[in-house]
Amino acid sequence: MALVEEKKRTARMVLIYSSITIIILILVFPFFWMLSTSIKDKTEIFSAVPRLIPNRITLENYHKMWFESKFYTYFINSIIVSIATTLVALLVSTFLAYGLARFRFRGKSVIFNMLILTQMFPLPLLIITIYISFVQIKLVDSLMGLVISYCTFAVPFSTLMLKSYFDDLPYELEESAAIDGCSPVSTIFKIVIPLSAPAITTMGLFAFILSWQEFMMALTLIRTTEFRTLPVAISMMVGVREIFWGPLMAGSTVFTLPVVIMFMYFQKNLVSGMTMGAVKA
Amino acid sequence: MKSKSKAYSFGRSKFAYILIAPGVLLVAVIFIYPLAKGVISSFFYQQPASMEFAGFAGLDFYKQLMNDRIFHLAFKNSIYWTVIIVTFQYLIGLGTALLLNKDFAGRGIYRSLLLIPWVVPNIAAAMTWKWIYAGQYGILNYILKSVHIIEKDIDWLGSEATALPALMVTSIWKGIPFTTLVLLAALQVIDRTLYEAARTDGARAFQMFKYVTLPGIKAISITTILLVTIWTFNQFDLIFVMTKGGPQNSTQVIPVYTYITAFNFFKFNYAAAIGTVGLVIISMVSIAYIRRNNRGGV
Repeated sequence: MALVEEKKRTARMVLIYSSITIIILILVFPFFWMLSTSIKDKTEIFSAVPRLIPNRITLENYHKMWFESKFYTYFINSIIVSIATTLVALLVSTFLAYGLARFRFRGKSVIFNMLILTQMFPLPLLIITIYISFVQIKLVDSLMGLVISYCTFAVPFSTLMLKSYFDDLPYELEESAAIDGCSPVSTIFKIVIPLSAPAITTMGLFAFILSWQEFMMALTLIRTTEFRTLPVAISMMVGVREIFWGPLMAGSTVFTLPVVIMFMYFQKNLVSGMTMGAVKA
Repeated sequence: MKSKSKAYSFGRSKFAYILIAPGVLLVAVIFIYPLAKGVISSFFYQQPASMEFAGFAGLDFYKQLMNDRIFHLAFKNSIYWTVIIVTFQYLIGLGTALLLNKDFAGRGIYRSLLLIPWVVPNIAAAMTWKWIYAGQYGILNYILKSVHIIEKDIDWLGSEATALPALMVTSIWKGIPFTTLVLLAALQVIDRTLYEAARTDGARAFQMFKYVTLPGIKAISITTILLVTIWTFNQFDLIFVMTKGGPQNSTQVIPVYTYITAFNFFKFNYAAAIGTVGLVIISMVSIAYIRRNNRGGV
């Protein structure tokens, strides 16, 4: 009897292991296929029997991608825009989230719901008017214009994340600071922000990642290669007659790796941040 | 969300307005204003060059939509796209979450690897899948040919019959980590004693799933499905980069058609009408989400 039970348990374990392994393998395969293609030479990319681990590892695709296009410019543009958006979002959202979490005022629930709704509206409709307005005020083809438009998603998202953190933060310290005669502004800078450093860092990472990969606005609002960002550049790396998969996958890898590394490093914070909204509701 | 912070107030509401003013102003200027203007512009004619309003159009653009064959197709595709992806993403996500909820060695590594599709940026994912689906030298054709499921190469994104299902697979692949992690978090807070109680009552695995697991994740499931529905309906990047709505509009959906009408055909007001239809559809789901959310208290 015990033996049968034992066998049943082993069979169950094998079943669980094999199914989860198959699912995970399918999920990670495209990523490793991208990496693998990026380090293959041309003959091996187009070989009749494709291999995941190349016979010969080469960096020629990276060389091509980096030196035969303005990849460096796009890379720097992406970094500038992402950092600037993150800073603006940090500044504006911290105050907005703190105000929403700690004070009662008229229109609070309207503002809160508006922030949630902004993440749900279809962007193409929005971008039409943003584009027309930006043409009129000459913000097209400018990294600053891009940063401003990125606040449409970065500010609401960061605010909601931070607000739910502030909600859980005990307010007694702030209260006693106020009793000790600490002004509201210095309470925020001396007590709230230091206490919330982990949450603010997580939020900053999210704002950075979201801006780093944003595509539609960058495609619409940037018209010259001088100000082009990475996602748009990669989407345009497709040749006219032939697609150069090697350099394309190398570009995609350079574009993807920073995000993957950040995520693996800050996994705990980022995963809880990403699932928080849904789980809390 | 906690009642203590709700009951508590610093009482300096003037200071609160100073705190929130920059954020609220920014969101109003870059979000609410363009959105409102977008909706309004679908009822007007505009000068193509100066974008000056050139007359009241009333419902003209909406009447035009009624006879637009591509719009009909985009509408139908958007519904299929959303329903099929949300269904599969939820079911596969649930299955994966149930597996990851078991105790086994290496679970942490699996959990980390699970994140990969979610963290790969849309555009990199789109390009990689384009390469996987390639008619010539694509790895998918190679695998399917070597197990004799297909005999000849298929241009997955280039033929009308396969392009939409192929895009759906990519979108489901990208979305599985999110549903899995949310459901896994929900599974982990189910009270373990409930399972033990069910077991002593002689419940079998399926009964435990039905009477303990499902009720335990019901609330989060509904919220997640609403969120994923909204995101899937609004999906633009993958479709635009992989097929641009083609071939022959077989992958055309409302967001992509809105964009193309505006920026490839420069019919801004007509595009605004298409976008407004999408807005109305998604608002219904969004309102359901907000109402659920507010029940938890603001």
